[in-house]
Amino acid sequence: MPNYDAGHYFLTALVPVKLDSVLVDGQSRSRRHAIRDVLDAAPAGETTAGLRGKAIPNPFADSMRTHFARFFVLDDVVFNGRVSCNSLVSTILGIDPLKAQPVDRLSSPFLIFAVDFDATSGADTEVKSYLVELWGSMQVKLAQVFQHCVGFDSISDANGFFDYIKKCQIETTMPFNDYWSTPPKLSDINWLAYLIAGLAALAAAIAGALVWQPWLMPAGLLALATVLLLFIVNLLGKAKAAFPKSPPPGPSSDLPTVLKALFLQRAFTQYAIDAQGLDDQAIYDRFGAFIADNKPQSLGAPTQPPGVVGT
Amino acid sequence: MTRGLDLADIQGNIVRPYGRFGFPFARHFFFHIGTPAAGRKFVEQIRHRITTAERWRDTDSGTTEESPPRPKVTINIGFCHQGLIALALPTETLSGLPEEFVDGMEKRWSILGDIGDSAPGNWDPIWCDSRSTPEKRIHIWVSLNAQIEANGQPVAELAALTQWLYDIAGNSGGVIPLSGHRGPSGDFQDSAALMQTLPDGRCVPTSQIFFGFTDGIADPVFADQYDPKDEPDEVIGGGKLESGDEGWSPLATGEFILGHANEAQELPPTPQPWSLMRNGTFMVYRKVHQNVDRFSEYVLSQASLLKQVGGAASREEAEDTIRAKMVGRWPNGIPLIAAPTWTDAQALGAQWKDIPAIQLKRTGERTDAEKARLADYEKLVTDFRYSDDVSGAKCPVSAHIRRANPRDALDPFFGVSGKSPGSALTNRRRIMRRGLPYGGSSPCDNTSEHGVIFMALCASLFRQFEFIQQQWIQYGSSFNLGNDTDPVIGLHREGAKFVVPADPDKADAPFICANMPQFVETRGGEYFFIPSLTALREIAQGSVDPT
Repeated sequence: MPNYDAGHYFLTALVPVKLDSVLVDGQSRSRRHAIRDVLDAAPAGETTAGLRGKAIPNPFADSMRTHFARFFVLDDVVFNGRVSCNSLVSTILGIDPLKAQPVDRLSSPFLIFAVDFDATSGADTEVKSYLVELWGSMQVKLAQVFQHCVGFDSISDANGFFDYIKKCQIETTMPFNDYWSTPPKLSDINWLAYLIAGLAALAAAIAGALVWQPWLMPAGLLALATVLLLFIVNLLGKAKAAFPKSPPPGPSSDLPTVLKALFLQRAFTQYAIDAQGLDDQAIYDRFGAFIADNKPQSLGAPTQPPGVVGT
Repeated sequence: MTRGLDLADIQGNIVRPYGRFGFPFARHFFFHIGTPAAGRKFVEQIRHRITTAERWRDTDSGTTEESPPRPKVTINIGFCHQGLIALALPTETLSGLPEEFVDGMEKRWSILGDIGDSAPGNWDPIWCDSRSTPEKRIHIWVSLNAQIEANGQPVAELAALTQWLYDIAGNSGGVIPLSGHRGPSGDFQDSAALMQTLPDGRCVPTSQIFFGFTDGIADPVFADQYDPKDEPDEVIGGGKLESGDEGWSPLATGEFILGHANEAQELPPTPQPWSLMRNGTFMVYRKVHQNVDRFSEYVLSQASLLKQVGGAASREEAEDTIRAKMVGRWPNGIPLIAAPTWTDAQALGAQWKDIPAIQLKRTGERTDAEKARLADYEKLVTDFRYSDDVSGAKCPVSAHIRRANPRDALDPFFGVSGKSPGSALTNRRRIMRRGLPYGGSSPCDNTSEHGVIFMALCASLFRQFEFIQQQWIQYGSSFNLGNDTDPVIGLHREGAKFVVPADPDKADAPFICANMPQFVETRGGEYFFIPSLTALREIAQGSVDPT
């Protein structure tokens, strides 16, 4: 699965964290400590209805393309213990169970930056336009985080930030596309035709063996192998076709549309509540006012701002 | 003889809803354990009188001469985690108990939705003291369930046993009865079924609660809970539904009693020793205040709106309909699935109008024909599934009984034609409810004492009780209801609403009950472990040994 899926780009970057220490409030701290300190202090924004209107907004909420953004520190790989081996096999191979095996480590901790944003394709220009926009709106906050990472000291502008993240990007192998509501179209495979052809080939081969026709058995086996090969090629082709490299954007799944939909859902619920018990003309008139006030065809105002619990 | 449950080793309140078995009066006590030795002495004195789950020779089927008679008053006991610490159980045992049990109900407030007026700071003084004062920490729960006299009052043995409990606490040298319940007697919490006075002056219990609903109808039924002769009837509506049309079968015992295989074909995880946990279970005790006046006023306001939009012809119909749609049953207990409209409910009520009189008779007084009639009626009120009502046009998806026990509604093939969905996803989220109303019915404003002492029993408080409370009662996502909460017992924040869906094949509009106020408030509660008789002996003798 690719970085890009149906209108959303899933950017994943593994950024190495420096191994030295840094002075924080006059105290020497590890970079891992310092980076988590910055991340934990970042405002989470409105996460519950109870915080409505009270929370300091999250800086990612300035973006009209960000669906989900996540930072976290990967300290190291998890050590799973010794590679086990059957005791008989290890005795034969001369493996000494008392000798310690090497323990794998990462060369440094990594800051992981994973973000899912609106994009029209999987091209680098899309990543660049997004990161340039992000740099423009939250440059200071990004620098507070990335200053603890290897090679960030020389980054001073948006292009540099894009180049930096691009260098650290790894492929997102399994994007979680949250707004895709319809399953991919799967095409059936003609199992029966392959089964009949395969059985016929097998029967020919067996018949050849029984009556010992020198040409019939190899020909039957060859036909069987051919049928099997064709079947596998066809199966893989059909499976792949369901997941095109550049699928069209998911219906109505970009952030402005999602926000407008959330806004309209709430507004319409309130309209329906208020209309209960009114006569037909009043309902009709109010619906006209509802359309005029809320402009369902337009993605612009009134709508729900990003990063808040709806009001 | 096949091996069933070891009923003599299991506390009776786990297997029997006492209220339904002729004990409509319950008295709850809470004790503090001053020293482990005193706690053990208290347990040693009480354990010989604990009511077990054995069948009673004078009332139950499948009994023998040796079976015990039905007691006048039952006695049961449970310990919260702090109580087990106070009894100085081994650390290995204490640390292996489930996190939610270790936390206790108060610390689980955010999961249970105990905020605002329900927040632990607003609970009855006994709970607030337990939190703030170490020597008033609640450790033990003891409950007495009593039969009643013809005048509706509990039998005299209740007062005698109450005194006996205080005596053994006094004898123990350090177990202290705790007080601080709101209500007429702060020393214990009484609760009792709402009574009805018959023309002959006799008082009989009803299964009504203050909101005007019939409660406790469809409790889960697990394997070996009932005598094999009674099980086929009891399991209807209470057991589980397999995919396909195989009808009802009992749930796995391990969903409700530790040490037995559960619905996931696993033994519930428990700490060592095995003998301490087997045949025990966990219990929720929760005092829930009901704002009856506020509820009635709200129902009235919505009823007049429903009548205005043409959803009901009369005031009475509108009021009954609003109540029924909220809870999923008509006030007499007939489910909306069986009688979707008020007219249907009236017709069914007329058809079964002999039932209340039969219900009022004692079991022994009923003729065979009446027994059969009652069994058919019980089938009517419990034997249903939601497959016939995917849209919720009959019983709203948000109705209380549909949330608390969605039956077949969470099956992946629910609503797919040609499939017969089962209850596999619901089977792991069932609780046995034991509870009775408390307080008087007048006045019913917010300052007086009335509500329900809600109790639930299950093998995993986290997976069963807390999941239902957090995901199904206080949230709506499992049912595509967004943030909507339970219309009756849910937390109603500003703008809370309840949607009554309309039949999608008709032109009717859905009805929305908007701006719902808060109808219930938590007034206290805790999680208790209900040990087996074996475990009580080990606790009393200080021989709990996890090694």
